Formats: sequence, structure tokens, C-alpha cells
Amino acid sequence: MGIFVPTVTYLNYGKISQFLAADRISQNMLFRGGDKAPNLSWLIELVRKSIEWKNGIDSTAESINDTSLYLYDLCGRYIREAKIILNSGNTGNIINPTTGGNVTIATPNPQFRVGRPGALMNAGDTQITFNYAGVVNPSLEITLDGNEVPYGDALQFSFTATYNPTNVVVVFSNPVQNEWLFNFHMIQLVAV
Amino acid sequence: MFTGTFTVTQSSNIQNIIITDTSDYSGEGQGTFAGRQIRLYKIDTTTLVPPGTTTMYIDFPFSAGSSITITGVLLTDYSLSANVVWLSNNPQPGSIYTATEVVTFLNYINDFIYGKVQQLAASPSLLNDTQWQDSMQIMYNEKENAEQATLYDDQFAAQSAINRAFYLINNENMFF
Repeated sequence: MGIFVPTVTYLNYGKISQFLAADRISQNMLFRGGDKAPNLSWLIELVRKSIEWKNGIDSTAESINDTSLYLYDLCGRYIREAKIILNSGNTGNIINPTTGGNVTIATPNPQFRVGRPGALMNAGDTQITFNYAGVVNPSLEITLDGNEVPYGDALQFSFTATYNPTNVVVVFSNPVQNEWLFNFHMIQLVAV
Repeated sequence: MFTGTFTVTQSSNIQNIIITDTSDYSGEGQGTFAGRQIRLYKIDTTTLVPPGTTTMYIDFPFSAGSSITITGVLLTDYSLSANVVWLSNNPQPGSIYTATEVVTFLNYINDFIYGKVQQLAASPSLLNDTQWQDSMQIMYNEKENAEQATLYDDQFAAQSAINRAFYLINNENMFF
């Protein structure tokens, strides 16, 4: 029993192979003065587009299986490279520019009301430390009762932040008061 | 303010066309219109209508909803200038009640080419026949020409490419 290959996979092999074939034909024309199959790129495109059309109007047509196998046959020597290209392009990685390691992105978003049970600060406090590693500098934003708190402004209530490898230390310009609603937003690179 | 817009697609039955009214009726409600009319102009300025239609246009009543399937109208490939007219009872300055788009239907040519691909899949040695291969290249080029001409709204060039392709189809024994 054979392995089922979706028609769209054959079409993708065809799309890549037609360009690989065109590239090889161009090189052979330039460096060898000719190519044994100068029409191969065109033929792959013709067959691929024709199957694409048939698959679009009637994907259940039995003939698609035979014509797809013919397309696969035409792709021949390019199939291996086409598979590599096809698979390498499916997903991307996020790289931490500092460490070069793969990461995912998290967005911690602690929120509390000062003085209430579970609050991370008490009335009179001026500092809070978030033990999140790899927080992007600068990414921290703070809102107080829905309004954004400015950074390092001596003329009004503001904050400064120190980004360390394993935490972020936030210092407010004045002591916080009961019932103030704080919401913190930050971007964290989490190593995988 | 009203601006009429529409799209044209082909159904899985290659003889049928689907016209979809994509207009925004928030400015002028559908109740302010007496109806919609579709005209499918060929390059000789005659219109294409389904069999049995006595008018030059195809009626597209609002009771049909936003889409209408025009059945049995494409008995061959065409490049058409599709025009929709919205019949307003109370025309407003600045509103646009007509829209036109060049649309090209190539399913018969595509069907012919696919048939040849099937033959090729069954008998790959057909490629040794240089006339067969040359004719396939011409067919394929004419199909591409028609598609490219449509992108530039050049209905005449698209229809000419279709006609050249059909010369090969109608004289298949000479070319394949």
C-alpha cells in the first residue's frame, strides 16, 4: 500500500522544480553551450498549472492522480532539493539577539489594586521587582487607573526601570496609595 | 453616496457564471433601486445572454440576493466586458451606478490542455513529436496571452489569443 501524497504537495514540488530546472538550463546554456532538456522548465510549468486548474474545478477527478505522478516524474532530479526547500520554509525561529538562542515571546501583564488582597504593593511602597528573566529593554509600560505613567519625569508621578537578566526593578517617584489600580505590560523573551 | 461594485467568478460547471454584487448599500438602501441589469459584451459589442433570454441584458433582481448564477451562457471561451447597472429611483450627485470589468473565461482551453497532459502522462514519448510539442507551446502561450491581456483590461487582445488557441483546437488533427 502506497503513501498518500496530497495533490497540493505535488503542485508545490512542481512550483519549486520548475525554477530549479530553469536555473540549471540557464547555467548549462552559459557554460556548456546547451542543455539536454531545454524545455523541461516550461513543461513542468505547463503540467503543474494544468493540474492546478483541474484540481480547482474538480478535486475528485481520478485523472489527477495519474497526472500528478507524471508531474512528480518530470521533477525527477529536483525533487530532493524541492523537498528540502519546501520543508525549510514552513516555520521560522525567533532569535534572542543578545544570546543567539531560540526563544518564544511572552507578554506578562500583572495587574493589582494597591492595598487589596493579593496586591503586589502596599501603600507607601515606591519599588517593585518582577522576577521575569529576559524582559526586553525597554518594553515596560505602566498604567495607573487607566492612564499611562510617564518614564522618568521629575514633574509628575513617574517611574524608572532597571532591566536585569533575571528581573526588572521598577522604582516610582512617589509612594503609591491604597486603591490605585496598576497595570504593567512588558515583553519577555523566554528561552526554549 | 453609492458606488456599485461586483465580482465575476466561474462555477464548477464551466458553462455558468456567478456575478456577486459587492456594493455597500449603507449610503443608499436597496429600497431606493428599481433593480440591477447585467450586460456581458463580446468584442463585437453584441451581448451574451443565456438561451431563451429575449433582452440584451440579464435581469439581476434584489430578490435574488447578492449573487446570481447565469446558467448555460458559456458554450465556449470568451473575453467579456461585464457591465452591471444599478437602476436608482433617486440618483444622488457623486454616486456611481454602473461598473464594468474585463473578465476572461478559459476553461475550454484549459480543459483541452489538461486532456493533452493526460495523454502525455499515459504516453511520455509524445514529447519526441516536435510538432506536438510546438503546438502545445503555442496553445499554452495563447492561454497565457489571454490572461495577461485581461490583467491590462485589453479585451480585444484577450479574445484574439482565445481565437488563435481555438484555431488549434478546431484543427486538432493538423497540429497534434
